[in-house]
Amino acid sequence: MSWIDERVDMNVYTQGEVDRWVYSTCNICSVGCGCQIAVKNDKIVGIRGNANHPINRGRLGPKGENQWYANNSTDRLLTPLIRNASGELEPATWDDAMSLIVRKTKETLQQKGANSVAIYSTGQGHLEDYYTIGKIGRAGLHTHLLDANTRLCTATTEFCLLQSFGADGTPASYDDVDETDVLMLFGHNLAETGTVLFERVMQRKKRTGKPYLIVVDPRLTPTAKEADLHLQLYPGTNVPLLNGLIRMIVKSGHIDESFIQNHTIGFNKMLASVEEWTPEKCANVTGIPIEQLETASAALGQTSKLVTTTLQGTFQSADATTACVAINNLHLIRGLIGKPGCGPLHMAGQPSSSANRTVGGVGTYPAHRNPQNPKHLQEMARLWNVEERTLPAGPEKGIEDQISMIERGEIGLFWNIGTNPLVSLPNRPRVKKALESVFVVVQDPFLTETSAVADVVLPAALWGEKEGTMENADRTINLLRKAVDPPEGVKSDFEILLDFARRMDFRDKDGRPLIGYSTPEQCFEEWKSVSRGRPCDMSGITYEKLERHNGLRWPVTEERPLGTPRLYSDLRFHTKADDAQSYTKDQFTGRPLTPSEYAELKPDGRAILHPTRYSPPPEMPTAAYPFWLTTGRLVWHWHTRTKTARSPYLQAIAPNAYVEINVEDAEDLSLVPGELVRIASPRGWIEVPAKIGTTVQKGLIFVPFHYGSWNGRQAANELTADFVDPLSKQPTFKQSACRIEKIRHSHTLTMGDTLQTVADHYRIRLEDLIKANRLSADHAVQVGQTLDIPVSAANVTLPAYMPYLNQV
Amino acid sequence: MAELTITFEAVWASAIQVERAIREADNPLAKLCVTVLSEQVQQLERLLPKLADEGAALEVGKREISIVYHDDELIDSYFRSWLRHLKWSEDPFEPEAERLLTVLEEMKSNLKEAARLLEDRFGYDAVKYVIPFFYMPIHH
Repeated sequence: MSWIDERVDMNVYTQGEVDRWVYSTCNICSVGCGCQIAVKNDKIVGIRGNANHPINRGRLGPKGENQWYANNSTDRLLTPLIRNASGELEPATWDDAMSLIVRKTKETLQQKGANSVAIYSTGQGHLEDYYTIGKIGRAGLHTHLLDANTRLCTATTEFCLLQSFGADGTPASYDDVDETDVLMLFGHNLAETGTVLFERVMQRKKRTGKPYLIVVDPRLTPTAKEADLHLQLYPGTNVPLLNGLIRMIVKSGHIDESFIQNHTIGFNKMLASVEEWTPEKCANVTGIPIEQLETASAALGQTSKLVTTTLQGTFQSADATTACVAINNLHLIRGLIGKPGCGPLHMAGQPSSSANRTVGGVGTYPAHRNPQNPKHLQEMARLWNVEERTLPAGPEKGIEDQISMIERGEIGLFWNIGTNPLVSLPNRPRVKKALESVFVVVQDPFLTETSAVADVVLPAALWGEKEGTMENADRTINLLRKAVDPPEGVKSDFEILLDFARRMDFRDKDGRPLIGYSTPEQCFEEWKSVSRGRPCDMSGITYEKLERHNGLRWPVTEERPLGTPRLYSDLRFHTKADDAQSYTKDQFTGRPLTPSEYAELKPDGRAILHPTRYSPPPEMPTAAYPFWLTTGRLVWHWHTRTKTARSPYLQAIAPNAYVEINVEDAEDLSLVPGELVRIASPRGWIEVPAKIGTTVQKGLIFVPFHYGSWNGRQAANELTADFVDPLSKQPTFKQSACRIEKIRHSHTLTMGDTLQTVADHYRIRLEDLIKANRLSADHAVQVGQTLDIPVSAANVTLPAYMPYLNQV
Repeated sequence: MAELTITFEAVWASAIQVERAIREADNPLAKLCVTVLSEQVQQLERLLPKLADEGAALEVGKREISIVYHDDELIDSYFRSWLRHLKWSEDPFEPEAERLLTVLEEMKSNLKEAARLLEDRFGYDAVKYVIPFFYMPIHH
């Protein structure tokens, strides 16, 4: 059972009554909460949750409640900008800006060929934008260089699903979360990244005692604090843990042999890959006591209903896809998929990153079509009325490969839409240097940090100012109606893309415009026909139906007019060669299999169990950099804070970055709470205050990645390494090495100095001065003694967000 | 196919050279490189005899060719990542790795040349799904 009640959360600021409420969907995280936008005098003045929407029944998270402030921010971009000869961005007309982009695109294509124009979009846009990007990119520009910031947050979801099941599409849904007996949140801090879904879980748990909650996380997060079992593993050991658990489950006989025999291939090789992971070895490598491993394996092995979710703790770690494949393996060998309360639920990191994958704005061809399969490209050619030979075959290039290509001068134009890579990409110094060397278009509502390298800036519309659909983490397609017009001079991403296509004169093989639609709804209708017969079939969806039913979960067809709660109920997986979205990759190296190699596997509609060989993180702590660094999100901010920093409430709660340091490590370094420290890695350094506690384990530090302003040094990605997972090419943000450096003055005591006078002089607390110098309280100081003085010490206080505890 | 044979032989020689030079390195990225290079060498050793047959159809060697190219794409990425790691960790092997990178770049040039020869011989439509687009001559 889902929610038992509704609660309409609301955040409105208006004088007088709201004129109207407009149907919409939250544009923050991937949970996909239904909402309505408050409009007064043609201005957005607030938001409330949609009480009828099954995902949230009226609830909103703190970021969702506050997302509307950005719409009215006084620093909205209202005109295109072009960088002049003096290096300054100056206002320009739309015609001048678009003409420049078109000219540059044509020049680049002429000089460097098709794979010289890159479009890097976002997971926060609309399905219709992504479909248009895919069509322009593949059939217009003929480029492989279509990627998005979804590479950073959810690429691993796609690739693990392709590996195991033949197609994208997370098998389980929130309906299964409502029914399951055991819920494992693997690298998924749901209490801070999906507050409404976490409340949904906890409401049921408080009421019924279920689900038994297993949380796998190296940090003691708010989610972990609510767990029945918290597996606080060492960084970079997801695969050893899963291999150890799977081995224990197999040895204890808790596998479904009939299911394995009839519905999977590859069991023996998979089993061989976990054989070395005895409980002792697993405990030693992961740091998890054997007793806890036994508890976990018993819970996972004996339950008849299991849902496992994953998010960035898995996706952004070393061995990301292998870990997620191991989770798929676990569900398959237990036969816990395709039935109520069962299945992997690999999440997405953004409100619509799933849509970008589904409709081909990134990765494979639209509707889960295999770019290595001639039949699939022939289908696309027919649907788009273009010549098949003009459609590029083969896999796309992810953003980290694109950075390398830029460094080698192979890319001439980089079009950045709705994302802020100079804050969100790892190894920021390298990214900045690369983007400075190429023609960059930045399409965004605000002047983000990435604008610093832009040659052209296009002002884009925000949520509420455009119509379209999004796909959340559990395959639900949600509708967003347009509430207000964007400010004058501002256009939607959709309009900009259509304008580009028209100016480039992209045509089909009969000479008609390649882009034949002119509204998002018309685009969606075209997309429907492209999706027909494919795993993500949306032929049964209309905008009207989406609004009437408050979202529909694909596939939605004539046979399933109200959508599909879970995939693979018929235990038929999309692994037949001509159905599969991919011929899969070598699980260790990431090399795409050839069609003949795939054919030799003979999956033929069965799921594929892959061997899960452990490969440690490339960078590990050393003497010079003795700490693990991990990065992540706060409950109060979204990504690079383009929107959330413009909410006075959210910005006041969490205005600055900080570093979480374990209390024992702080003691070893004699750090005081809030002390400004320098965190240095082989890439760079930042200076942030220390938040000392027990959230991180000894030897690990955490820095939130939201703070990337060019003013100050707080950007976590100044520190991170830009290694990627071999299969998904998702960067491994979660494991870098760093050191903590104290930033202190020295004060040599003179006659008359006391500890108190010194503390007063430097405006720090006496207790901090004592602690910083490891003095005892009654230590007699002496003239000539030199004391360390912390440069600053301002406590980092962040309130917890736990309203559900009062509600449940 | 003589020209093709010479070109792929050069690729094979480069792959062996790099694989031997780095096979003892224990960093995970280096191990990935070694695994990929070993596979590439193995596939080239299967391919070369097939290229000796002047009249051979693409079908005969298509699998090996595809694997060789896809392995090269991976090597390019993994080796450059490993090189960054060597720099960051001030590893004494770094200068040698820089030199080996030039060998890999030469390999890539040879593979691009081979792609041109294969396209000339068999036509674009035949090689489209065999050779990654990034190795194909630029078509305008």
